[in-house]
Amino acid sequence: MDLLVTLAVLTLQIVLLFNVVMFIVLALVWLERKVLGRVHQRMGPMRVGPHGTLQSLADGIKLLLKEDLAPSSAERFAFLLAPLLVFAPSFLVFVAIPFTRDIVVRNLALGLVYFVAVSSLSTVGMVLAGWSSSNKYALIGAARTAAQLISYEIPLVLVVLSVAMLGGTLDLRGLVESQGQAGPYVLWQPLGALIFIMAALAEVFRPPFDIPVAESEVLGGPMIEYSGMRWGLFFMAEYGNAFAFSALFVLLFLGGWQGPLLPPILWFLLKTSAVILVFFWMRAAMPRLRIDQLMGFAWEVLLPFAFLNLFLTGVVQLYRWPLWSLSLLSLTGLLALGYVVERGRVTWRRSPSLAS
Amino acid sequence: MLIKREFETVEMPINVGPQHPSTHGVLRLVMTLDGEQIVKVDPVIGYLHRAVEKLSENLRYQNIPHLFDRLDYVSAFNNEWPLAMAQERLLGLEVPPRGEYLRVILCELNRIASHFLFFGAFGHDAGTATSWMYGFRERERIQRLFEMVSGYRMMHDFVVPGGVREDVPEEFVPALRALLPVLWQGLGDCNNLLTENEVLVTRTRDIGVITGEEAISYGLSGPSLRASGVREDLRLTEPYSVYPDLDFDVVLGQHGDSYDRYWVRMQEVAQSLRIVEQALDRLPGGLVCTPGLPKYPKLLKLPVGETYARAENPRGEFGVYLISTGGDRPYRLKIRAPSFCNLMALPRLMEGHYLADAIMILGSLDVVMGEVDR
Amino acid sequence: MPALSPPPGHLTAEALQALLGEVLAVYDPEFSASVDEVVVTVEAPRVLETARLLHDEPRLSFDYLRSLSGVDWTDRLEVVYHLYSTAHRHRLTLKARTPVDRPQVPSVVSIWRGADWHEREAAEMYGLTFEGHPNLVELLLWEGAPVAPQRKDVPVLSLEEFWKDMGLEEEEEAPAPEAPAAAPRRLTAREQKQRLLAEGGGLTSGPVPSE
Repeated sequence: MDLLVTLAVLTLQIVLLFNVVMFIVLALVWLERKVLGRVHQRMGPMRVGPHGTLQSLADGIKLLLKEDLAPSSAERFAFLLAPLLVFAPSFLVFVAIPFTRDIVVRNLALGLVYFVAVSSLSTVGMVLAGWSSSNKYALIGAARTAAQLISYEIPLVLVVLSVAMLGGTLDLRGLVESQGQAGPYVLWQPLGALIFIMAALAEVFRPPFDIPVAESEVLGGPMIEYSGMRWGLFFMAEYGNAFAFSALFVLLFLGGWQGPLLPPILWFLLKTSAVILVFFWMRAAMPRLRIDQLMGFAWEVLLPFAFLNLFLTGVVQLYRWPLWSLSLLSLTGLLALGYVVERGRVTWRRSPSLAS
Repeated sequence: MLIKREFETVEMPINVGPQHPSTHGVLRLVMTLDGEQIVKVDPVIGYLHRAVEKLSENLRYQNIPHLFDRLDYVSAFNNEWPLAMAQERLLGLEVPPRGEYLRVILCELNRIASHFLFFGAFGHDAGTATSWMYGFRERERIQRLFEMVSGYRMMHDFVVPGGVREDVPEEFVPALRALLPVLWQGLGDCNNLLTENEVLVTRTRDIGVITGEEAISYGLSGPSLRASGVREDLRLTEPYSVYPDLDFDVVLGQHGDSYDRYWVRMQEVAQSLRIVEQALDRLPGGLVCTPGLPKYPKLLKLPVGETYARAENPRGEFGVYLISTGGDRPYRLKIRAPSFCNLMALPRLMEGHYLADAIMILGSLDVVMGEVDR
Repeated sequence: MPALSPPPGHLTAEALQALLGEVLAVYDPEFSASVDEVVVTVEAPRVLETARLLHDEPRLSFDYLRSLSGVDWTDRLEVVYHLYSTAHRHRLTLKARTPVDRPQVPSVVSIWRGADWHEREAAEMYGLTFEGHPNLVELLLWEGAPVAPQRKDVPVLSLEEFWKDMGLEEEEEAPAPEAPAAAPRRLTAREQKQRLLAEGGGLTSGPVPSE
């Protein structure tokens, strides 16, 4: 009897979570289109529902009604499996994300490790998609995907570890609560926050790191041969991941749901929306980097500084120096990062001048 | 940056196009890739071949501008001008000053519109959809003015031997004067977005480098040639029309790479805006077309002779080699299209680069397939 | 305002012709003039040496090939080269004559790289053969296209002839079926436009949006 009740509660939680994730994804798609439209000096969706709010729903229905095509020379089983392998991790990470102190499916004691590990499973799905599509562009895209994801995983994990060292726990809810006493970690680890943002952008394949799935180059990369809801799964995975990583940034660096006056869930959503808007802003304003430039950036710039961040945090923790010293050291590291990037602008030569 | 040769790799033949979001029309590039690096590239053209040269031999002179508009469909006024110039040379016509100034104004406006389209497409290839919107917003403003003048937004059929077809309406000059500061502002917006954007510089610096001598040998022209530092601009080196009276600079690049080709075009927009302002100030009254010329639809007969008339199109030197044996149709009409000659250098430009660079190189050449294939 | 004013440093046509006569004397060229340029005509086999001399001679240095066209004069084929010197700023038209039954011209790709595609196009359109061209395959035409279509003996068909040639006869238009009286009639494009203009809409009648 208890087992049945537990199973029923779990199923309910999962269904509820799935609906929440779907709703978040649809809302994000609409928000991105509106924000991008406004940057482009146009309105974005306006017709379907008030201010286009039902546009995502209409697109979802359209995708469901589309013909399900597969190339005849594709590896059938892998082709059908790949979108699921990409979507499932982006949904599974939400299990461990605490929206507020009480709104969480299951606050795992190793929540942070779980998050990072599960989110990197989508790599397998992308590569499988690219390889099984029997399309050269998909193969190129898949190779780029794998390279990029692996490269940016390491700085991400190092930064996350530094935060865990500060908070003394791997439990996400515990980390937020420790920020309640110490203050948001972005103040103490600005270097880590910056590295996290960049690594997160690359993990989610958002511009400027979206060359594996770029439309104007490899025509969508691994997703090229998918149509209808299978493609929709890739799409939802991208937005789900974007939200998940933004939420993680908020939990790790911005103090989660904490804040005066407003209810915690509102704080959480506001902070996450702010981070997501930064993601959208980057998309609107930046062209994309080439894959070798991207990977050079990860291995030559982000990785050493992630190590530096970890080292500084370790030193401060070991010698029990006050937290503001970590902040100072981290800011110095940030300036050093800026200097390295400035010097590494190997392509920045003086612009040509006018001649008569 | 390159993989070491201890790896054993397989070269992969790949087809870019003819349907591809970044090939600026129907162009097919048959590439052999080694990983990401391009080993060999062979452009295949002809998908848009409409036999304009052959058709022109059977059309009367007043019908040919319809076909010419559709060559470089992005800048239609600039295509009609050399055709009109060739006919004027054979007939020995003098164009009245108002006609010349109107031609200059319309063609420079079209150059601005074409370069804004280039900006949009180039930024879009790089990854920002924003640049597409910004470029086309400015282009739309100019196209509204064109609609006021000729009734068409794109395919005008307006420049005729002797001048322009008819005078501009009264509201054109005030509307243009009101538009110029808006265009300056738009150019500033576009420059703010991409010109100093570090990611774009990283993507295009030292990509697709060609030296001045090689560019001349390949027959490059226009901004692609000037980006390599070669001071060849038909408006200054072989001046035609009223360009000697107008004051503007020739924009030169230094490195001959994709970024310079982009930069030269953006600076040329500023120079063209200067030209339009000066031409507007000097716009005289009077006739817009040589008087006494047989009005359409009467026949226009050219004497025997041949000439090669050329003008500076947004893409380079647009030449028309016209052979007439008397009569109302040309004997031979050869079109020297700048994009055709620029595209010839593509395999040389793409040597040793990556697939992602290939897209940027093609975008920086700014080819329009309509005039490549004719 | 003349359509073409000579830029500074430009030799007059007579001076250029004299210089060319001196340089090309060994090839015995023919001189003529088009409206604005000196024209030099040589026989096809000699055009490669002539072009090389024009390119290398420092007083001429024609380093820019503007255009290369084929022309069909029915009794002969001509290849017309429009040359330009970036150093001295003078222009030249070089013509190479070749008989119709043996249309072979040496290729000038080794002198000007930009002759490549021009020669390919002239070859496929006029049936010329450019000896020494590295890659003389078809450029613009498709497989199964007519041979040498720009020659004068290949006609341009009228539309009716074209349809008959393709086997498509024009069909008789069937009378339009009667629309059911109950269904409201959709406006034609013309009526829609008239209604739009009457209501004050339209593209240029509204204000241009300012930013």
